[in-house]
Amino acid sequence: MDHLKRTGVAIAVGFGLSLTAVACGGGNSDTPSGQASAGAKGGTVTVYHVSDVEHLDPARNFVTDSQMIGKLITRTLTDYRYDAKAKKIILEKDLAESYEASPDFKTWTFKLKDGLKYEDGTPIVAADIKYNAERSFAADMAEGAPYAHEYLDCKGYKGPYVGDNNGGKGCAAIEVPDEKTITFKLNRPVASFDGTASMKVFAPVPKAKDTKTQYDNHPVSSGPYKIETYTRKKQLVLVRNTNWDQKTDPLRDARPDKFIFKFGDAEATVDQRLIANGAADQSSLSFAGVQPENIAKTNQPNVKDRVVEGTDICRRYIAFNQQKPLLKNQKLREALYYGLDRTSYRDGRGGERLSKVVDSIIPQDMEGYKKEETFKVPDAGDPAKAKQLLTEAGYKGEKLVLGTADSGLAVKAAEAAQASWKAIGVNVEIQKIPGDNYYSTQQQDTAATDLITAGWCYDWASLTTIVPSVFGPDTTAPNKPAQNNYARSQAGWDKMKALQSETDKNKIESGLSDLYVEIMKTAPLVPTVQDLNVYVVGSNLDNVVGDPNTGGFPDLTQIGVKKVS
Amino acid sequence: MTLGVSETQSPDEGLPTDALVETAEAKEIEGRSPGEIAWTRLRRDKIAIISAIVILLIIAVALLAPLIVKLNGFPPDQFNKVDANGNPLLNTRDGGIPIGGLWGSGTSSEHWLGIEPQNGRDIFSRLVYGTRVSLLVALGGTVIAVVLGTVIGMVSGYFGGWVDTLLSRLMDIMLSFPSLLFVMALTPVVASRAQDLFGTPDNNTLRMGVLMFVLGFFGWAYLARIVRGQTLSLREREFVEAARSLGAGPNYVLFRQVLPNLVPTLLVYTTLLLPTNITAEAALSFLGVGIKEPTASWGRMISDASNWIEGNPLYLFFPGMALFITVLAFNLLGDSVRDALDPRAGRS
Repeated sequence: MDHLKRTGVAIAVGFGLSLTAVACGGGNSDTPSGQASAGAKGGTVTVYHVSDVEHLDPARNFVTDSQMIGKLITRTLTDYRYDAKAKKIILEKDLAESYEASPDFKTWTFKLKDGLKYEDGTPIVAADIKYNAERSFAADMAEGAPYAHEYLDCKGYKGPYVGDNNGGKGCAAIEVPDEKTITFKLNRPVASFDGTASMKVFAPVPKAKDTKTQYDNHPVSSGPYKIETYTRKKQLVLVRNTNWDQKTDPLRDARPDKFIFKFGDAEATVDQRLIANGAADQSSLSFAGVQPENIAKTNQPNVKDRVVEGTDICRRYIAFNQQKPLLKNQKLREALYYGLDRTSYRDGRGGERLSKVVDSIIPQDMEGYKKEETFKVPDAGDPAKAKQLLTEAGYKGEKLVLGTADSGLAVKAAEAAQASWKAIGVNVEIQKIPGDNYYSTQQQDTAATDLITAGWCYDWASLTTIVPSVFGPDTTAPNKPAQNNYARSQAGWDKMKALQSETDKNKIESGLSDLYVEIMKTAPLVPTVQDLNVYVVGSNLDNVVGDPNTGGFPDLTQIGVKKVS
Repeated sequence: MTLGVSETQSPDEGLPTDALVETAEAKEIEGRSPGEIAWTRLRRDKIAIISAIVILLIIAVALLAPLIVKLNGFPPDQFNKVDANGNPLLNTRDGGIPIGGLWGSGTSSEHWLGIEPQNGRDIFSRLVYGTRVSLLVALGGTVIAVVLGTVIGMVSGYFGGWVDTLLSRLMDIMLSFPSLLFVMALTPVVASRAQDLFGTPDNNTLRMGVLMFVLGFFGWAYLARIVRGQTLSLREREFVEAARSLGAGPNYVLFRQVLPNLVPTLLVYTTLLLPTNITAEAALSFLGVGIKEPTASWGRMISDASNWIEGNPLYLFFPGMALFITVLAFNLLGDSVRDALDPRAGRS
């Protein structure tokens, strides 16, 4: 559920930030039986993460890793819960007791639950949610989800820190008639705004405790855990927030007493520790999945019981940048589509256990997914057809540059794509771009490469956070492709615009689903793989499940410790 | 220390003591130039001969890479998924580790040194092509370093005064530079700005050029110091004074009188700088600032293989051995050349 840009980055940078989750392919989705202590509270869970997270401030928290940690600290109006037994992602009311939309879906009203408190015991009020949504308008909080300022009808508002905050009224499109009621007035019909309300920008922040950009270091807890200590780039310790009331929270089991996040150990080192399962690591896990070179070890007898496998809602693809004259040629784009050997690409990303070929950037189990029927390319590609299309395209050996993030797996996959295109006679050169500014480079028209590897995770389960984001126009500048429209494709923009004023949720979703098929006929991109993750976790951990909705990371809201020492 | 070899020396002065012992041969030896004597000595050195043969073989491999790779039929960048009988080569369920072969390396009658995990590229073919990169970059870097070092060292030593002070301080600065860090920082920047800087896109020709340049740029100062010391002593010698008193200009003296006397030093230094540069190129590739994928390079093979050392140790072993043998051969030859030219500093 990250913004694609954000998640995308995370995805591209490597396993550290990416994926895992649902038991897929019949793997062991749970650690062995919970035994007698199932559901027991207490204990300490240690989580390794290759780097510190960027932001815990709910106005800025928009990357999968920080969202998983954020779930423990901050609550939002609604939130998604992953039900491992039913294998379903379910939208639950979190802070909200109830909500309703006007018939045109332009006004949404949420009522808060009773007995909600911050870590200091003060009550959580509707005005605090309004305040945080307003904070996300501020220029120096731009990293967060863009939906508050995209959907809310308060044009020109610049956030609470500028001037007198609009005469003290803030964003007039958010109304707080009493402490328990909050109303959002939108600039367009948004039929799935209850999903939007799961974004962290709709978490409460008490105005009195706001330290602006410093708030990142100690967001006030509304969830089951609060920050005890936080040493940037080293360690984050969460302890129980005694003012959190389990009865109000349908999302979080909150079984351990304490979480310790250790930042900075290399994935390979952590792999070794978790595989060894030494005394210090029996209640440990890692946000990074097992690296390809260690996958074979997960079959060892003392390891295979501790393996958790899964996937996530993110999909990878290679976009064909139509701003480049060569790639305006549909035949050439089709040739590249047919020529790509996606099984090689998958192997570059770690093989069948870590990656799976997909035929669409819409997840298979999502409403609106359709099997690819236009090109019907086998996973290993169709070189003969590709060569024929190349001839028709009049391709004469011009060089195409394939951009990739500069990390092990991403480069291996890019080499696989290069090799399969070389086999049909396309001259492809790889350009490695540092992971921390990969997407911002590809978003600049002057710096973008011809062929662009990218990834996208929907923000909530609606095609409105896939199709317009990946293929649509920029909402602020006319005729400019959206930030994450790496193909610079203009196909289907008129229909997208027409769907914006549609108020029937089903019509929107089916309309976008059809539109996706239509856009894909122009071959703006080739879907490649979804990430699978294989985690090895400490033997004392209980109920470890990957949360596909949060980058596939182990779901810390449901995890427990078997034996509390 | 001077090497004591110069055009104006009498043969007697330059004669090695061990040669004089064999009085019976003394007559034959008379009249041979110091170069001939060194050559004779080198030829008697078994280690030198073996090293030289190994080096010639390596050079031949680099030059004939396309022909050699035709022998096994697997181009270095080709992904190999199945063997001749259609059986899969990689276990894609286990992260893409090769199936079979010695210690999980996928060695077979088709793939003599095994295949890379995840993509099945033939390690033998990649090693053969990697030789080209290693030798070319190291040679280019060495030539740049030797040319720069010789010219700057001679100018500094011959002219003295403020020229010497300036150039000597420059050498001090270059020698105290953390060159590896600098190279790591510089190479990606140059590569990414290649279009603006040189008008060429970031391709392997440019990458190799950048590598040669940085290796040369950070390698000349050490040689320049040695050359400067030699020049300082040479310029006081009688034959130089004689030339000067006959009206020879600095150009003539430097290049016709001093330079020939530096040749032995340069020869020794060059043969020792080459293996250093081969190692440096591998280190840079290892660190990811070398040439681009998918072109094979020993350093990147080693870096890649280090992840797989437990599952497939041979993948690390072969490029490691290639690097080791090449560097050892150059080093031993360098030692032998030095011994041959200056028996007084010899090992035996």
